[in-house]
Amino acid sequence: MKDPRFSAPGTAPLELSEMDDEPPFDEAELAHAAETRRALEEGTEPVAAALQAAVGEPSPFDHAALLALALGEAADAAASPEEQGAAERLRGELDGVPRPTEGSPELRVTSALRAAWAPRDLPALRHELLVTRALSSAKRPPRRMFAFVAGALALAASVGLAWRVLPGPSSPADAVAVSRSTASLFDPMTPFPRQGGTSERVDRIATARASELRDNRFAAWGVR
Amino acid sequence: MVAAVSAVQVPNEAEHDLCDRARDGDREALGRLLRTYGPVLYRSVLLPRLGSEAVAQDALAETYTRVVERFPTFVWQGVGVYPWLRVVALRIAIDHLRRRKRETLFEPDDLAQEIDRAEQDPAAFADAMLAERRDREVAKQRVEGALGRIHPRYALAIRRRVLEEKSREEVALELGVTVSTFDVVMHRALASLKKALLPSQAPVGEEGSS
Repeated sequence: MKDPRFSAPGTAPLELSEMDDEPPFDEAELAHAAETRRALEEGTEPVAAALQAAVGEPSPFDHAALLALALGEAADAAASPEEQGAAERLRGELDGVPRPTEGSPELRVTSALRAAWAPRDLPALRHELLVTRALSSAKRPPRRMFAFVAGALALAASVGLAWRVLPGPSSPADAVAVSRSTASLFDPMTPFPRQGGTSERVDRIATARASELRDNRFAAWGVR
Repeated sequence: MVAAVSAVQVPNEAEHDLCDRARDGDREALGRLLRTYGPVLYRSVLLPRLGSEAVAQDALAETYTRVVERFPTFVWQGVGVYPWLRVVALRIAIDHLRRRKRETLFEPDDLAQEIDRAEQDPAAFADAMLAERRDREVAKQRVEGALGRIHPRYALAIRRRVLEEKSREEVALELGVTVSTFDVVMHRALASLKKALLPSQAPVGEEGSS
């Protein structure tokens, strides 16, 4: 329970839960109380400081505050208006108040800490969307590539088949015609004419090779 | 509320078969692998290193795209597919870290070293559950290392409010300050941590034995 009447400018509001049975304060008393509180918070209230020094060990946080002062990180120093504003924004962000942007640098730090300390699982639907999108957007090989691959596979399969079905004694080297020069198909003493005759020569080569191909197939099938 | 996904262990033989099918272009098999290991990659590799759910989700989407593109080159080495997926995710994470250059607990060089270690000893990451536990531990060490570089009071404020998600009132009470004072302390604590996380600072924490 807080009452703005007990808040001095630039200071935190007083907690009144333990003060309900107190008689009302006047303005002068309130102003003095605020000064005293600030002095106590800042550790500059002389009587209190003397008492603390006499009574015992400083608390860890008092020590920390002294260190902070020495290191230029005075946590208890008065906050500037800019710091007050930033602190208020950060409080809203930490409490989950939605913001149109992705947040302040401080909030990004907290996100990084939380993500490293206790990362949350990805929602199932979101994950399914990512998987589906990745699988569906992947490029498939073009049809021409399929045709080429299919042709290459068929050729490899036929070679493999020929290799497997050929019986041992009539091995491929013995029974199957191998590639060679076309010189034997023509009379070496008769030179090719300078012009013409090309189709005839190609036909002769094709006929001879077709015959050899048939022989090879018969050999592969074991019918010769 | 949407249910969170969790990893399901795939027997090694079954995984080998899935990888063979996926490599041959079976999208269903590849999808099953991604559905199994994607959540682990997200919560133990990408999110802790990138520090933002939105960025980590983008990185996961990129990881999937790259996995789909590169899976035909995947070679089964007897250690499962998770080590390979993890390295792909780390490479994507490096790209994101280089692009962002802001408050993160990891630097691109840290991830490059992790990749080196993973490629030298892929068997160390064969068990996805163990790898996840190790990755999570490394991330926690990073947090502890970062908090160890700022003032203890600030570190305690961050630990209670951010990591343990306690209320302002609780933490203010523990710190012995008023709530409004605590707001300022918290603001200063995070500003101090942000400064400590600047890339020019010394490396934070230990990587562990991963």
